Amino acid sequence: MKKKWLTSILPEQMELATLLSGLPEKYSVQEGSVSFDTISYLDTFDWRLYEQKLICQFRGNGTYLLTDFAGGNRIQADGPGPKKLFAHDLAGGVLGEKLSAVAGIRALLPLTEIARRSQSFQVVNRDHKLILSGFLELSQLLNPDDEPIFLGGSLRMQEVRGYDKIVMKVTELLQSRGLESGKPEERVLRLALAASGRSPLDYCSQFSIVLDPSETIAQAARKIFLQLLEAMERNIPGIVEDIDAEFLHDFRVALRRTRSLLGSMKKRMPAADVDFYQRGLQEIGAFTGPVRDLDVYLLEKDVYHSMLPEGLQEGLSVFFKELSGQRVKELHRLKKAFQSRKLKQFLAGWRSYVEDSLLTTALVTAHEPCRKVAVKAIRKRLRRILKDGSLIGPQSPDDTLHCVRIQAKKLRYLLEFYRSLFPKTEMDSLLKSLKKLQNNLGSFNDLSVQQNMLAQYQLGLNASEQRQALQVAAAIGGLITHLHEEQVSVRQKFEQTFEQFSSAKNRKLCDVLFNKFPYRAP
Amino acid sequence: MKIIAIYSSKGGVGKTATAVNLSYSCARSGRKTLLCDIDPQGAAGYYYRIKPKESFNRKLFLKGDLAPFIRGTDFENLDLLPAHFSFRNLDIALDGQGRSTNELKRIFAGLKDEYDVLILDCPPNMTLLSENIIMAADLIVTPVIPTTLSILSFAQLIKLADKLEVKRKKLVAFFSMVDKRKNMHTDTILKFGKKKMFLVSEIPYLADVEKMGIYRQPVAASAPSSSAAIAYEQLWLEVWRRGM
Repeated sequence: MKKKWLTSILPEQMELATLLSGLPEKYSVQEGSVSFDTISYLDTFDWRLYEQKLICQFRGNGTYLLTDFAGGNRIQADGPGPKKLFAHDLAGGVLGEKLSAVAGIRALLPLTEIARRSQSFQVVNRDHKLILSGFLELSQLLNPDDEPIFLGGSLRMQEVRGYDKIVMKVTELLQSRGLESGKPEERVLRLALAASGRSPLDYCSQFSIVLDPSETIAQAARKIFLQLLEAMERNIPGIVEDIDAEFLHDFRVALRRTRSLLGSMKKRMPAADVDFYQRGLQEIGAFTGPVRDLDVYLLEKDVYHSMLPEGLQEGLSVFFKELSGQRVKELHRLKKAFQSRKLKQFLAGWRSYVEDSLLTTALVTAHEPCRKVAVKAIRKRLRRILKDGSLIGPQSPDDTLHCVRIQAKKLRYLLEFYRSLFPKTEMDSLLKSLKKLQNNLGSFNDLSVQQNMLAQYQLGLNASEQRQALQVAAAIGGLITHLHEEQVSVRQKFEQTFEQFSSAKNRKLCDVLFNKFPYRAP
Repeated sequence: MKIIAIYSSKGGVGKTATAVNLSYSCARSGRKTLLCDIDPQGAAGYYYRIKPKESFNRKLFLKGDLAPFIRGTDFENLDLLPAHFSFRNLDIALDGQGRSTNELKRIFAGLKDEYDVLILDCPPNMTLLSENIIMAADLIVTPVIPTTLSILSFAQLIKLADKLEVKRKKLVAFFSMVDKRKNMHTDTILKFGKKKMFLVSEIPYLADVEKMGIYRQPVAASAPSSSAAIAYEQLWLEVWRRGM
């Protein structure tokens, strides 16, 4: 049985014969076949594979290969070309499952293409017993305008169990020739990306910013606005190309964060400026809404299907077909809006306002230290949530939960904007418990919105195609029943979830973080 | 982990060839396989070109310290624990350990997480070691040359299994080195082949099996489409069905 892979990085281009010359006499190297491959590296826009120390390649022969950074733990599968790949394109196999777990609903996109020369070899003893086998791999970047660029080479070897001594000798020999153990696949990817001006993890869906506590709130807000604007701008091409649903989602999250921060700056910036940009941002929110709403349903298609018995599946398929049709129309509108001069001008105007005018036009109140403002804002928000939440009982109307949900979302944005100003462990812990509360409130709200949407849809069913309309109505009715049951169960868990969030432990945590606890329940 | 012992008290019946070829087929079927050679002649190791490590000996084997001495073959899913010359006295050593018939079972227990199947290439004798083999194995596969003496030695094995109160279901035999030109072979097969304990598969007397000594590989590796390779593959499938 073969054992683990040993991988070394070559210091320069070297021949196999040179690399492995000088082995003890009883061993000999048998050079095998040489193959040439073009390799496209793929990852999601937000580097979900790289973050998990994984690398996905598409090889010229039509094979996808997933490896770790060293090129080991290989899983492969055949699939369609390397333009854009979803995990579900490889459904039913180990690779599809693994990609689904890591990339989720995100598309894998080609990042860069290289060429690789790969030579197999074996080390055998006097009895011609296999002791080691492996590949010498040399990679270069294809450069249409110039000479190819050498990206490095590696030696990948698989030892055979029970021959540790010779493996040690080979390792020593390779070290003496300047080879170092390492992660060649990651290295090649990084170098190839650098040549095209990119680097891994150059985009992240998670918001993260480091603020200086001595900065004024205007300076901090400027930094945050710019980062959010960059996130919006970077997602626009993916939205227009309709690569996957997460581009629009990330765009809208950055938009909401911007609106939330702008709202909190009302008394620190000229009112006319705040109004003008709030209106513009609100408009963007409005025209990006319909496609996102449809995406929410379409992404959950399988889940919806699993809620209904066989007899209602056909009606549901009609419903989804119609949603897909609607999405095509809405996407067309969305693309036009994104390509419009109006939007481009608005975003350019917002950028130049934030970059050039925000600090000069800011009111006196915007010159307070950001930490002080953050503490005040967070305490205010916490006080509201704890007060409103503690008043909710089993009989309270749904609207009261909706209000707490909005408060919790605003608090979440504040904590994320300013988290670098507070102790990390305590902040992480508070965020974790807030997320739990938000999950409960979010599910409750989503289930409510979904039921309303389905009920509206049911009302608008075309009576002229009666038979089909009946089928669809039955399916929708089934879904509403299922969603309602789920909503009742989520609602029942609210009190318990809220109790955890407002526990003595969390209050103490807030004491530590924000000096003084803002509100104590009676 | 299933333990399959290739055993016969008679020498020269094709035990090692069987162990080598069945272990190859087993590994090819995707099961993690260990071929354990307890015959001090070390022929299984010779066929796979594997020598035992110098530091290995009978004492370590009896201690159950096997993992450091297992070596990989050239084939996926197949490892081998080569025999050591000191195994010639395994009987005496077992005798010194209180004449237990469950020593081998204890020794192999440590491998159960790593392998799906353990195939034993056993030495030709009928001693305390044989009793240990019978107790440890889930299935005992006996190659029988279709001759009177060979049948007799299989009958002795049944007697020994009865003495140890082991279910007869654990014992199977197949005709090995069959030469259909010999009347004795055809007569013996006619007489005993229908018995429940005998498998349908037979291994003919073939040059390809003898050539294993030259190529030092299982026949299915050196001559994959040969009739010998096909015969061993069929034998393996029947053994697996019968045993599991």
